[in-house]
Formats: sequence, structure tokens, C-alpha cells
Amino acid sequence: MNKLLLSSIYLFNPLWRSLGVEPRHLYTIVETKLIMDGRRKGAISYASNRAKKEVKGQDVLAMAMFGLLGLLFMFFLFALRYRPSGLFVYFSGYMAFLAMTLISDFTDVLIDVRDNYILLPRPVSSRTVGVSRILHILFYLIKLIIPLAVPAMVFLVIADGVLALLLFVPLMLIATIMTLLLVNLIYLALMNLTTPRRFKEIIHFFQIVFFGISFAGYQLLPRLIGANLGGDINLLDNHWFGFAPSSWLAAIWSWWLLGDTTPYIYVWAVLGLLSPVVSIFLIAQFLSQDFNAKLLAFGEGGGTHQNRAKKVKTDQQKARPSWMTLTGNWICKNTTEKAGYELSWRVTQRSRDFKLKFYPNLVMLLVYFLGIFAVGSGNFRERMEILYEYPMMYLGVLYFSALISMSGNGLTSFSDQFKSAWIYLANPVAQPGYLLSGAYKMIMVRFFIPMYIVLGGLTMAIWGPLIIGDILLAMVNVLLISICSSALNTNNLPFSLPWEEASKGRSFGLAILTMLMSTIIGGLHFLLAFYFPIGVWLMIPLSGLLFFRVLHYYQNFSWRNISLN
Amino acid sequence: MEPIIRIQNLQKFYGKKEVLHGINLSILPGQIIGYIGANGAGKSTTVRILAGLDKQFNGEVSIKGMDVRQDALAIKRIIGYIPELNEIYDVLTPKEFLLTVGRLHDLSDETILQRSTDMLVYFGLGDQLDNRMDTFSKGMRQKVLLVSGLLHNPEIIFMDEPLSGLDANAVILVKEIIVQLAEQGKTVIYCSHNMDTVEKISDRIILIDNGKIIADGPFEELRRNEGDSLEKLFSQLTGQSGFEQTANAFTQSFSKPEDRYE
Repeated sequence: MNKLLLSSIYLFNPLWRSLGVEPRHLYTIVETKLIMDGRRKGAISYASNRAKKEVKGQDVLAMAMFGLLGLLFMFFLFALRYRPSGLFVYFSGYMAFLAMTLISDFTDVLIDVRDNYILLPRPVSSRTVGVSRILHILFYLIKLIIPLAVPAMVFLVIADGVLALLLFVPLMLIATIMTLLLVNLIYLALMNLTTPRRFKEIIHFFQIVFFGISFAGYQLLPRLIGANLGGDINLLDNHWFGFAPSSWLAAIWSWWLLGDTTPYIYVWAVLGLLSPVVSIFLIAQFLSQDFNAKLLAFGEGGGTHQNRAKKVKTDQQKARPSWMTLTGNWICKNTTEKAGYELSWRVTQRSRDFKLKFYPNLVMLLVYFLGIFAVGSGNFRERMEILYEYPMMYLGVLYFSALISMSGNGLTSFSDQFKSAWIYLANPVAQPGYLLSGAYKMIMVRFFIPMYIVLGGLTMAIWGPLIIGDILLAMVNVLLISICSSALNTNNLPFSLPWEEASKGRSFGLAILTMLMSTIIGGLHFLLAFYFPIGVWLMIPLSGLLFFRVLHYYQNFSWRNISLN
Repeated sequence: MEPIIRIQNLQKFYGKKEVLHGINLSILPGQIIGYIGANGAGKSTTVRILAGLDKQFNGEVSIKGMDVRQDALAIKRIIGYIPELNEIYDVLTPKEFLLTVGRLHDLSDETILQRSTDMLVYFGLGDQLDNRMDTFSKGMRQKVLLVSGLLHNPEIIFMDEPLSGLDANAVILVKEIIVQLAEQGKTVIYCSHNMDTVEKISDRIILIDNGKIIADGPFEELRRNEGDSLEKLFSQLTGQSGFEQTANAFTQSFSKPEDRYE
């Protein structure tokens, strides 16, 4: 695909030359950027990134993934039989996906300050660099839009005929142009409001949110639409939707193909037809110039001179000790464990890779919890009544949190700065097990317990206060499962392995083991709660004792138990 | 002889902070210029301006009679720039990276591959041509950067800490390369904290402090007493002294009572 796109560059040589762009330079820069695209990690595929070897047909694979997503979007056209309603939801999803992909997946490419050191010192005109950036975005979009749109195009041809397809293609184009305007505006707003470093942090936050929304959309939307909307409902009847540009596109369809001349439909359709012209004018006339100027300033800001130190308030500077210090003092047995606890706390707080890999798990748990409400049909109260009739459903959610806590523990072994792990070896650490248990306690205190309190609270709100014994036992059991899993699996010191190691089957084995333990212990809990409810309360101290026994064993890991890489 | 680089009243501001205070310089062709100064003195900023990376400055800067703002492209054809920051597209292989750089200088692929392979072999990276650079050490990346700055046979070479991360043998090799490039008539502007190297290879030393040039000339002229090193001269000129007392105070920290957790 890249070769095909690249060879198209030379077809426009006269155009490039008339613009003052050197075609060979343009080809070289775009070719290099496309190679880099194929090797960089994106928000969509970050779970399987970092392969050092070139994977043939990676582009085809990515396009197939977008094709699958296109099928999911097509489902809206299928489920909502009144076509403008289906198109409204389709274009809303498409525009949101495109905007989020551009922001989360492509920002590092657009704001690449290395260009300033690698491209700017070479004899390449600024126009060539500017056009190469536009072509790069265009090629990226082509690879994304075509597979996304094809399923809907096929569906529309079959369902509504060729005329529908002829209208759908320009509507997709308008949706794309409007999204580009939106993204451009978001970039400029962020660039004006924030520093380069903060900007990237906001974008990283977008990546996490993007994953969460994608996952939630995948899990929940089909069920909700299937249950609530269905049939022939006309969503455009709701005039508030007129604020969403996707409704303007649906209105064009209503007006053009269905002959709907209701005044507001007519106004929306005109807005839809005018929007690409206005968008292109705004982008070309104002935004792109401002964007390039800001980008240059960002590049300079990314250099050595203007990097401001990231100040971190120490406990001495604060009026009160931090939550980390307080909890560390309280739960850590000695200075080694506290060192492991505080180091893990700080690194996980500031490591982008950790956040990108772990936070989506938290989102996933929340989505699964929300997924419970998608069971059955009716309003909220009716759904709650149905849930109340299945009292043991909450045990599944509570034990599912074991997977989250364990994934956090597993991830604390990995870091980009894994070579910094020399500090453990260069210092007199007698019992490295305390470093491991420090990291374990950090995950529990910082992530698991707060998350479990929320989860337990929500569960109790639905099923009533009588299940408090179950909530407590499940918590102690999850602590037990996670410490067992850590003791059996985690023999690498915190942040001492490169991320490449994370994809070598360790996490999979860990997940299977955790699931197995959760199922067995959760199953026993279920039987106890069902046949011998008082046994739930009796089991809490027993499980607690067992937990502390395993923790003690883990803390006593010696250097012989530690795997050194 | 006509100067190849001429800088007149160069001023640079970062926000309200003035980092270059009206620098004036003329550099003749074929010289090795050791451009030294403390951290934040303004060395890299000057070099970035000369290499055409930064056009936001006051004053006149010309290379071979061409204005760096007006004739940026023509100037970039004759200069080579090796940045301080070890910035590289590290997901590429050295071969891919050097092909990109070489093509931007309009070299044919045959020339790029021939030259870059030879140069990387001399640097001991002959077996790394097709490996991605994100697994490279800092020294290996620095070698690739050095090759990228020299690949197109530039007349003027700006090197910002070129020995950063290199092993001892590579340092000797790079020093020798710099000397031989100057013998071929090329001009080398060499920024470094490594006083020993600067002292040994530079024809002329320029010392910048707080954005002002405070010394300029061959080392033999600059040193005040026989036996003085550039390191000592640097400390004297930048007003830094009393290192012995500071070191003494530092080591005395251990004499204070200590407390350890049991």
C-alpha cells in the first residue's frame, strides 16, 4: 500500500514544482515517515507493539482491523432502519473515531521535534517539509478511511442502490474535512493554552480515554441500541442533535434522497453543504499558518534551552506529608520495603508506558461493571430490579478485580529505563524480596483498594448492606490471589525488564493462573455464601492469615529467588 | 583571506532573557575552531543559528558571503551539522536513516550506500547497518550522527559535543578525522566541554561566557603562563576558582554525625 501511495507522488511533479516543492525530497521525507509509521506504536495497536523485526503485510493487517471497525459502524445502519437515523449515528461514530485517532495516534508524528534536528539542517525548502506533512496526513487518512467506509458502502449499495452510494461518498468526504477542522482547532487550543510537555501529557491522556471509549463502545453500544432504539425511530426529530455536525450530513440525505423539506432539515442540510467550503477556507487561510508557527515554537521549546524543570513538591515543602509517605510509613516493614514502595509509586505516577498499559484495565473493569446494567431491557429502575434477582452476580465483578490488581503487579517489572535497575545491585540490599513486596503494596494501596472501595460501594448500593461480608471476604481473597500470583510469577525486581519482555507470554500465563485461582476461590466463596452464609464471616480472618503468611514468604525472597537479566 | 563565516552583533533572546549579547566573529577557512563555554553559555545557540535551525535572532550572520536567513538552502548544501542532543529517528536502521539524509542532499543511492557503508565500517558498525537504532547504545547512535553530518562532504562542519558517548578508540579516531578534514581545507567549528581535546586539536579557541566572547585566539596566545592547561585557563577566565576549598568542604560533609536505621 505504501509503495502505491508513494508512487502517486511522482504523478504530480508539475504541481509540486509549481508550488516550489522538490519532488525527490518530498518522496524521501514521506517514504521515511511511512516506514516510521509502520514501526511506531499507536494507541490502537500498542498492546502488540515494539516488534523489532519488520512484519510483512502489517499495513494490510491494520487495514483489516479498520475494516472490522467499519463493520461495527455498519451495524448502526443495519440496526436503525430509518436511514437518516442510522447515518446520524454512523457519522457521529466515524467523526469521533477519526478525531480521536488523529489526536491520540498521530500527534507524536506531527509534533516530532526531531525533525528540527534532522530535516532543518538539510537543504530542503520549508514548503517541501510543509507539503510532506500534509501528504503524510493524507496517506494516513486514506489507509484509515477506505477500509472503514467499505462495509457501509457495500451495505448501502445492496440496501438502497447505486444512487445512495453516490451520495454517501461525498458525505464521507465532508465528514472527514469537518473532522480535520475540529482536530486542527483542538491542536491550536491546546498549543495556546499549554506548554509542549504538558501538551504531550494531555495527548497521552487522550490515548487512554480513546482506548476506554473504544472498548466501552464495542461492549455497550450494540446492546444499548439493540435494546432501546431499534426499528424506525427518527433521531433527527430531536432538535438538540442539530448541534452535532453529523446530523447535518444525515439531513442532506433526508432532503436529497427522501425529499424531506421540513424547515429545520433544510437548514441543517445547507449547513452540511456549506461546512466543507468554510472548513477548507478556515484551515488554509488561518489555521495551517498558525499551526506551523506554533509547531516551530514547540520545536524550539523541545530543545535544551527552554525545558523547564518539572518541579516536584517534597514533603518538606508541603504542609502535610503526602499520602504516599503516610501509607508507606504505616504499611512498610523496613526501609528496603519502603524504598521499593516509594520508587514504584513515583515511577508508575510518571511513566507514560505504565499508564498506557495499566489505566485501560481500570477502564475495562468500569465498563464491565456498566455492562451489567445493559442486561435485560427497560428503564434504570426495571434493570435494577432484574439485577436484584441475581444476587450472586456481584461476586463475578468483585473477583474480576483480581485480574486488574495482578496486571498492575505484573507491569511493575517493566520499564523503558530498565538499565537503571543497577541501583539494586550497587546497593547493599540484603533481602530483595522487600523491594518486590514494596512494589506489590504500592499497587494495592494506590490502585486496588481505592478501586475496590468504589466497586464495593456501588455493589452495596444495588444489592444492599447485607452483602458487606461478601465484599470483605472477596477483598481479602483478591489480596490473597494477587500475592500468591506475585510470589509464583514475579521474580524480577521492579522496573528491571524492558517492555519487549512483557510480550513474551509472561502476562498470558499470569492471566490464566489468576483467572484459575479467582475461579476456584470465587467458586468456593459462592458455595459458602449460598449454603452456609455465616461461613463467609468465618473465612475472612482465615483468608487474612493466609494472605499474611504468603506475604511473609514473598518478603523473604533472597537473591537466589531473583532472576537477574 | 576572506572569512568563511562572519557574525556581526549577534543577539538572541529566549522570551525576555538575552542569551547572546552581541557576538562578533570572523572565521577563516580551513581552521578548527574550539568553541568552549560553561553549560548554558550560548555555544549550542550560536551553532544552531549558524546551521540555519534558528532564524529568530538579531544581527548579521553570513557563511561564504550568504546570509543565513536569506540563503538558507544554499548554505545548508555546504554545511554539515552534528547536534548535541543525540536526536535520531531511532526506529530506522542506520542504512535507512543515512539514505534519507543523503537523498535530501541529492546524493545518488549508490553514493550514499557506498560512502555510508565505508564510514560505518571504519566506526566498527559494519555489522549494524540493517539493525534498528532503538537498540543502539548512545555511542553507536553518535557514530551514525557523525556519519550523517559528513556524508555529503561538507565544506563547513558544526560539531556540538561530537565525542559524547564514544569509547576511547572512537574518540581518537574522530579527533584524527577532524584534523585531516581541516587539512583538506574544511572548516570545523567544534563545541565541547572536553578541554583536553579542544586544546590539542584547535587552531583557535573561542571562549564564550554568559553569551559574551571573553577570549579568542590560539591556545599558545591565550595561556598566561608556561605549563597552564586550557582547563585552568577556562576556570580563570570564567571567574571560577577555589575548587580545592569546595572539594574540601564537600568531603568534610562526612565528618558530621550520621544516623542509620537498624
